[in-house]
Amino acid sequence: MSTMIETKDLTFAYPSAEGERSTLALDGVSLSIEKGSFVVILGHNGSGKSTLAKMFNAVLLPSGGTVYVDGMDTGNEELLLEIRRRVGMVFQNPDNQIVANVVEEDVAFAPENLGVPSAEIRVRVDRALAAVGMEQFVQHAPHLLSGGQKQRIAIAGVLAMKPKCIVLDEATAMLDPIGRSEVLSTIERLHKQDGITVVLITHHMNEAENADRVIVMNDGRLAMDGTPREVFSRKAELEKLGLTVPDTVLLLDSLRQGGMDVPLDAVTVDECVDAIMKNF
Amino acid sequence: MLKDITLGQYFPGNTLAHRLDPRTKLTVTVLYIVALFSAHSVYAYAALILTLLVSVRVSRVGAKALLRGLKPVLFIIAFTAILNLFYTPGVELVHFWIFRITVEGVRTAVTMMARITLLIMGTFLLTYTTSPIHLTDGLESLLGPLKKLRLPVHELAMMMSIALRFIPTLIEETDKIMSAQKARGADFESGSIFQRAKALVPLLVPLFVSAFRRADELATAMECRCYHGGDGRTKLHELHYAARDYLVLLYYLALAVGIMILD
Repeated sequence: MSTMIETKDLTFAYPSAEGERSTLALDGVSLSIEKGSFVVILGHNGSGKSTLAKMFNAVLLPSGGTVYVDGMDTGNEELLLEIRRRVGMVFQNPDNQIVANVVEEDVAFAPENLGVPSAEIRVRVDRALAAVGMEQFVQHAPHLLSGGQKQRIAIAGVLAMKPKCIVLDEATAMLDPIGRSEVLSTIERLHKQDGITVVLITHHMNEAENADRVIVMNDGRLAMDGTPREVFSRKAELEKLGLTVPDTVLLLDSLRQGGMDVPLDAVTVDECVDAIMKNF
Repeated sequence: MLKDITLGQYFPGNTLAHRLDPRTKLTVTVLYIVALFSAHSVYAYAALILTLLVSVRVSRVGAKALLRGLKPVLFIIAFTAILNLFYTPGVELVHFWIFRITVEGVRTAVTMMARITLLIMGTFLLTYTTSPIHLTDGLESLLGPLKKLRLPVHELAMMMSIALRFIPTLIEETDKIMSAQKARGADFESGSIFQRAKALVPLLVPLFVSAFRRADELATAMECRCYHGGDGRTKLHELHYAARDYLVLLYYLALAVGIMILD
């Protein structure tokens, strides 16, 4: 597999007020994300995970180091639109990323910007809305939709660019549990069916259970990197970084402390049930 | 309470008036206003009233809705009518105490009333049958030539449509902030006008702060979706004139030119 996104010695400092020392939001991050993978980036507030995400489609440019998207340097201004077309981004607040007051017009926004002919835009809008299961809302006003539905519209708006990768920057943080599962199942389906690379940034541990890879950020550095099993079995380290492990791991851990012989690396509920049942 | 506010009083529908190109409707409204201000004779007014009646009939907008539009300007209409009635010099009709009504006065009062009523109803018909998006699209396209004069036509249209998009969001937010402030003892409803205006400060400050934050996030989201100004932009719904547009345009052009020449 080839790489979708690659960063090399990435550093970034937000501009600071005069006299204040600026702290590095990112401090020497080198990582590569494979095409077609499902990567979850975890970290507590201020760990640099959102800053990192904004590097992936040139919303922010590195202070030091480089970012390559599909082999293109994000510092190259001529490639800007192409980079942003390939890596779509969904943000936290659904209200603040919907541009138009009709659903179809909003989904059409990106292809309109790219100068796609209107017949082709029609096709893309209908396909994108079908892909997120919102085809019956074509003519709706976005402000009348639920949070989860709004986020699915935002995902459709990104899909209409035909991206290779979707970055979700805490896209489920403001949603209720129903909205969250709507958005997650949509994303998982897109990943499985269309092979879109997914980078999911979150602080909900349970969202990481189906990922191929989990990256934990702390103080602008990569703190952990591995499969969900590997990362979540290191419970003590995660807690030191201000993160809790998923409920399943928590349960298994307390069972272990109670003297039961269960493994720690069961991440999904089914695995957890199997692990416990083996003891009976 | 704030949710009752409806802006852009569009009545969705699928009549001929709704399907006309927004540019046609905008142009036709301007032509109608020109005709209205050139009209003097009874015949001209008859033609204008007939045209409006037919347009209203075609658009299936209820008479009630149209009359409701007149309510806010009722005072202005009455005021102009009365002023004209009493202060136009000419052949005396009635005279009592210091008031004198002239024949010319009656005539001007009636024409003024007809003129304002038709003007309001005509423009309301435009907003009743055209959605705000189509209206901005139409304006952007009609004002397109001004881009050559370096007027930021696309940007203005974009700002207008974003403003319209965020009206419900900001109203909802105002409601929320109001409830939050009321829960902490803020009083928006009693006291003099000055006290009430002052009470609005703790409402407006958070609203502005949040609006700026929203604007910032929206700008980033727009950039992420490859927004780079109006150059090379296409549209999901391209505007195009159909045969009906040419016919309607031709009719209104004839009406305006006819009244200007004959009247």
